[in-house]
Amino acid sequence: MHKIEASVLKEKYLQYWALGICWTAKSIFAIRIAVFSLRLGAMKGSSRNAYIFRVFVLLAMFVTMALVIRGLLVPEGFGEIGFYRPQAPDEEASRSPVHQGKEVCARCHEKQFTMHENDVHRSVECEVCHGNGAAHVDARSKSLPKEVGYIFKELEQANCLKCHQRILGRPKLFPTISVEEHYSLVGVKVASVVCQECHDPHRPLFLDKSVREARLHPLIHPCSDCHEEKGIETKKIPANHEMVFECRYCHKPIATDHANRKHSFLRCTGCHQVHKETEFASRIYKNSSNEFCLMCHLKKPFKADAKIPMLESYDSHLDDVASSDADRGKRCVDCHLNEVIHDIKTLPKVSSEEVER
Amino acid sequence: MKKPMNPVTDSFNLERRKVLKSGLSTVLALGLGFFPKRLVATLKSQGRWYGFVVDLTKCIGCGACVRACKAENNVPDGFFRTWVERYTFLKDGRVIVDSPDGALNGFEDNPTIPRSLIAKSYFVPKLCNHCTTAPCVQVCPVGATFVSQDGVVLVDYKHCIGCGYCIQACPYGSRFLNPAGYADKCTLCYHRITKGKKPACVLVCPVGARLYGDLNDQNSEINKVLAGTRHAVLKPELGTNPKCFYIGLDQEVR
Amino acid sequence: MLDVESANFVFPNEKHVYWTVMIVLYPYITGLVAGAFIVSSLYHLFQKQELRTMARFALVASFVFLLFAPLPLLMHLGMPHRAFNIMITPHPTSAMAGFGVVYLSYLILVALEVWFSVREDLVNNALKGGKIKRLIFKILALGDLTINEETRALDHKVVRVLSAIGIPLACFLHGYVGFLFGSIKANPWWSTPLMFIIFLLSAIVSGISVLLFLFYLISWLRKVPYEDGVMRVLAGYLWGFLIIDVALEIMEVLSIAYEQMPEWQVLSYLIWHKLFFSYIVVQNLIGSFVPLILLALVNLTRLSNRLAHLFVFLSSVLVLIQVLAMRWNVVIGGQLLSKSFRGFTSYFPGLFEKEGLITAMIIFTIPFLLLRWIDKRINLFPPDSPLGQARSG
Repeated sequence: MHKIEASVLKEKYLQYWALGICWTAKSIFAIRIAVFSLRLGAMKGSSRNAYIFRVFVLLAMFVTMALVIRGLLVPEGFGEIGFYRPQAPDEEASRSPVHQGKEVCARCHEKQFTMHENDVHRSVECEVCHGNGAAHVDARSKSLPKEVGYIFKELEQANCLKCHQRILGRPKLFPTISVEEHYSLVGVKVASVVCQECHDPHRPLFLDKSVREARLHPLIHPCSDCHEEKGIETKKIPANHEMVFECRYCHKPIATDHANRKHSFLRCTGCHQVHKETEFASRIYKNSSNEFCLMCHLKKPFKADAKIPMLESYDSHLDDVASSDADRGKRCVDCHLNEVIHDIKTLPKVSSEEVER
Repeated sequence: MKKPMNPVTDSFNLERRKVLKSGLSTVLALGLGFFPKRLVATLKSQGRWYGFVVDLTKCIGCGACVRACKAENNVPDGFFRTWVERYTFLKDGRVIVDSPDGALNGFEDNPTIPRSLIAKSYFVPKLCNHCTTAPCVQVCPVGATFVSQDGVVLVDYKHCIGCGYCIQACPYGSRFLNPAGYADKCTLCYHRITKGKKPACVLVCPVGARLYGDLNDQNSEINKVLAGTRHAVLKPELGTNPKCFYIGLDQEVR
Repeated sequence: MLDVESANFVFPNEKHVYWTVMIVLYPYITGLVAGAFIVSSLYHLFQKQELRTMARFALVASFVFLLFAPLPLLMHLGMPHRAFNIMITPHPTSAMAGFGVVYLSYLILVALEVWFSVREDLVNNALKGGKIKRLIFKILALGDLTINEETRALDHKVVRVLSAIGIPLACFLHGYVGFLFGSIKANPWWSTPLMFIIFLLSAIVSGISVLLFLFYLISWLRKVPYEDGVMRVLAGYLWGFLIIDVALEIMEVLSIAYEQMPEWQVLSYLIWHKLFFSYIVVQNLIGSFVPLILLALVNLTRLSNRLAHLFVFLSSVLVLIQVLAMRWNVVIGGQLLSKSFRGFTSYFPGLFEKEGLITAMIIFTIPFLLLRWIDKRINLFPPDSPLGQARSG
């Protein structure tokens, strides 16, 4: 049970009743103390007991003084709403917040904010990477020189790897990489190259639309997410095993076609972004922005030759192939999908009869 | 044989008895002065009642929460208002727990554990559980730590004497002695939540593993999450009634 | 399964040990207080005439230790200038808040009892000597310098009454410390209902031992033959209380071990590895087992007085060490153990820190020096006893 209830009226009645008792008791106490001391003073002891009497008086004086001093030193209001200083919660609450939150950043940095909100890092606050913005906001709101409260983020591999390094314990559906494996896959030959050479931190996957607008999809969990061993592919799932789905169980024709094309070494989810929405559902869509394709297919000085076909420059490629302005505005997949990824023109839509278990 | 009457001592004894009696009744009156107020204080809780949820199925152990909390609350080095632990279960039954520097800089793989021996592993963020019947509040000798009216366990830094009793009494290791001399702990970013902002750790978590909210508000997100998941609290057998709920909590986590 | 060697884990905030050697020292000193007071009450209230020599000394020793008992606490507090908060706003649900009332009232009671007990000496000092000395003692005697049979009888009666009130108060003074530890459900090494009585019994045992030790030391320094009566009575009480104390301490651990309570896994590692020297060797073997044997020999067999004195002296020293080890094992041991039940931290008190060993030794030595200083001015032993007559001035 995590709440205690009391009706307002009952509480107010009890409050006044309790306060009444307190004040009556306090005044009785004060009067009693006064009478007690007076009677002590007036007590006539015989001369034989003079020292006993003096001991008593000393004792009484000490106790009274201690109580009076204590009464004076008790912090104001102590005990009224609980056994603590009632000013304490407000003192704690009056501290200034340090982290600003991305809405505050958005007031000035609209461009980055819009990019950021439509890509997968929308759940990552600006201040996670850039540090807290208290000094920065303060300096800018006072129009201080640029150097004051300047925020700068070093471009370091380690910063991205804080979240994306494949280490023990990270949930399987969270995108993690091992740098050697990832670089080997995409043809990067220099291990110290920073992630930002290909990935814009505000738009890491260059999504062409927000995943929130994508369709719902069952949560797929390929075998390879947990099993590193190759050849685990079996449709016979052992008893008590989590329900897993390989894309090809439902999408057999297209999966078979994909397996025969140039991009067969890539998983489906490499391009079909899947984002877990709840424990059982996700959103999925095809990412077909040009920057996304160019992450792999644009030549960069640190990339190995002849691993993946790469363009020297996108503009010169367009010059070669585009015959009109409309052509220049096309997406890569508009021309290259069926040949090298998977052919969707000729394949029928998937029907329930084709779904195999 | 009756003792002969001595008028001086008898009157003295009589007076002494009367004075003693009046002294006793003053003490009684003093005692009464204390109790009723606190009785009322415990009944009064019709406003907000904050709770916290940690989703262990989502945490990636990046340590952003630890860094944000440190920046937001000026947490001294070597002490933690929140931290993340990693539990690694080996196939031979052993459980290895680690929390390198409280996960201030995230985690790294432990090269001494062979991968093939590992059955499973996950992260557990920890913080003050803001217990309803907090043992730390019970043992504070001066009333410097208390449960606020909105359910947050706070420390009155101006009243704390730094005896450390509350730190011993906390079963979760959430409290520490600030080198400045007073007891310190997670305040649920009280200075933020009272202004409608999220606690720093909730704000920065990139995967949404942390959630806070008003347990008294039937429509709050936290109540919806609690109603829709199976969750547990840490060390329920101690009767602390914590208000920090863990989704996906394993019995091995203490 | 606990695997401390390869996987030691403590909560990040638990790396520091917060209750240091100062907190070990506080119950040790208040233990001496309670024990010494009980010995003095054995004479004043229960009329054990053999203890007449030690009675006043025990009372004053109790008072002096009591004066210095809060010192280790002050050293420990993070905010010592707010120390009085504990008396200004004492939290009724906190065992530690009891310190304010119990300590003050017990201090007043022992002060009063000491005053009534030494009043005659105060008056005697006020009647002779230099002008300033006479004035000081007159003020101390509250101005009334009458001494006659009636006042002596009254003084004795008051001392008896105060002794009677003082015994439960002494139990409170030391028992609350035990309860303070025993009520912490978060710590399995501390949490037990028996802690209150275990602390109380070990307090009595340590008080008797310190008095025996001082008795032997002072007799030796003043070259006075050791009084057999004192030794026999105190050895008897020491033995009796020690048996119950050790029995309760062992039983407490034994029951957790026998019942295989979940915390036993980590507690047994604590006992057999982390606290092996201080708990098994010092507290139990050397500090409990040996004195029990020695005192059994003294109390049950016909030993010569010389041998008995030797055994009792040894036992008193060993028991003093045992009680200190017990405080250390409880306070420090409980904090070495992590509340995650998966590991241990470590602690070394340091030498010159505010809460280090040197400070502890200084705090512990001062009461003894003060006792010596008082004895020079007011005879702490009855003038007709050998110790009283052999004052080295």
